Amino acid sequence: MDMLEIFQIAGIGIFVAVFYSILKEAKREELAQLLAIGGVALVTLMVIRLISELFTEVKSVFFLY
Amino acid sequence: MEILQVVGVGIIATVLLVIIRKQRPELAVQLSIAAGVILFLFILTKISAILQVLDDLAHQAQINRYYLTTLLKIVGVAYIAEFGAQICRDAGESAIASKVELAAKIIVMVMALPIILALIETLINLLPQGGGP
Repeated sequence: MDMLEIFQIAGIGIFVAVFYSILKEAKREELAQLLAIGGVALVTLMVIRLISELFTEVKSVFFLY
Repeated sequence: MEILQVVGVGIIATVLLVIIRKQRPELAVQLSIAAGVILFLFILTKISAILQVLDDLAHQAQINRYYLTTLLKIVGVAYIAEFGAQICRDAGESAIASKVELAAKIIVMVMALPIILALIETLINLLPQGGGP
């Protein structure tokens, strides 16, 4: 039961949310957008790795190969 | 016990989701996917133990292994389709979710066809040949 991924994703989410509003206040809309997209990309990488692990496990358990 | 861990992870993930949902909805969807995957990976070891017992019982009962593996494949396809459809529905895309479920139904039907044909053949063989009046 590794809670690591959940906390990492939540941390990235909070980090991006905070810095998004900070950059917005500093009148840097484009940087804020870039930060949001970067956050989404990073989290997507982690989630895709998790999903591929799930699919390989399910394939082996349910003879789905 | 395991159930305490599962409920703990579920509640923590839900709380974190509520925090993130307002500012960054796209990250919230991915966090719910990650939580779902982690919970299921934890349960998968239990499921494989159950399937092992089923396998041994089928072996002792001399049931054809093909039928059991097809059954398990159908269960696996149904689970993955439900997993994907539920994620799409959570994100608000119920149209995509229904398409995924439709595809899953068709795939399961295709997988079940050989068994249905075998069943019908055995039924036909049971009937008396050339039937009465």
